[in-house]
Amino acid sequence: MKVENIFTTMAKSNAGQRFYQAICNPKNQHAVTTGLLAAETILSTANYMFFTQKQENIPPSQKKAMQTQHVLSCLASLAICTPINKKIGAFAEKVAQKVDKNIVEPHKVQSGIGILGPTLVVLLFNRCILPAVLTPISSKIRDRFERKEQEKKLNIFDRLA
Amino acid sequence: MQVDKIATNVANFINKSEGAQKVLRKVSDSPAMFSAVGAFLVGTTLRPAMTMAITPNKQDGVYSASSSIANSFVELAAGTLMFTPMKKGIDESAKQLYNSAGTIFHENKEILRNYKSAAKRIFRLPSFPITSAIRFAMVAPIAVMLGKLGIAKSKKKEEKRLDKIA
Repeated sequence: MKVENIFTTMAKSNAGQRFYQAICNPKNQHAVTTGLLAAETILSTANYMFFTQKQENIPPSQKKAMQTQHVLSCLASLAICTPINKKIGAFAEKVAQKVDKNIVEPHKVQSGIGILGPTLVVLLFNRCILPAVLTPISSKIRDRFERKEQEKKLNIFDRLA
Repeated sequence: MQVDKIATNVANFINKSEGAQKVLRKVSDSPAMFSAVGAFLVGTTLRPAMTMAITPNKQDGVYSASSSIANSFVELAAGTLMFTPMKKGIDESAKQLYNSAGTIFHENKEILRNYKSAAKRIFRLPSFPITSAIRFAMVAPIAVMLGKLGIAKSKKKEEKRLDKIA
């Protein structure tokens, strides 16, 4: 007899079945996908903020720059990468349709195009171009915030004096 | 249209090049591996190089590059040690649930189809704090290793920068 793995045991339990019925119901699928994406983004951002702040050997200005960059990157990726990904997916599909059916294992080549195109573009854009462009922008934002904070502090000292 | 022309040119290149077909077949065989290795290569080479070239403030560039390198190592390690076995476990569990009579998964196949992707995403969530903690613990040592600046040097620069702002 085959032994059940831990995921099966959890899913088969009463609580597990109730949970997955709510989460995996086809009627709620759009809301669940959006909710999970939002949860992932919020949790990853919260972790990013918390663990950068906790590091003592990273200079405070760098912590702020990295945090600003992360938030900008999340927003930009939602606003830009999702539509780009759709367009590249459509382009990859066009290329796949034009692939010669007489080559060796054409279905594998077609599925490879569907994976390679969007993955490469998303990787290059989301992990390379976007962060590289956002680093100088986040530095400027950080400097502006810090200047304002310094001005506030100076104002308080002026008032006290 | 221009897009159609480009698509035809790309398809013609693939039809002629056996090397390209071989690569695409390999990508199709193991998409997760390709994605992980691609992310690692981009994160450890291309992104740090681009960030350091574009950023005017050298210290910002070094820390951003270090963060990217640390993230790439942590993601690759987490993918290999945690997520791949977890994915296999969930796939196996979906097969077992398919045959388990009297459960919602047996009665409604669409729930079972959604179960795989939902479970993979849900079980990833608890790993976030662990991967983040390891990642940021690695940032400062990598910044030092990059050889561009030490922590003491960066602290001095930081003090100078704050003096300038003030």
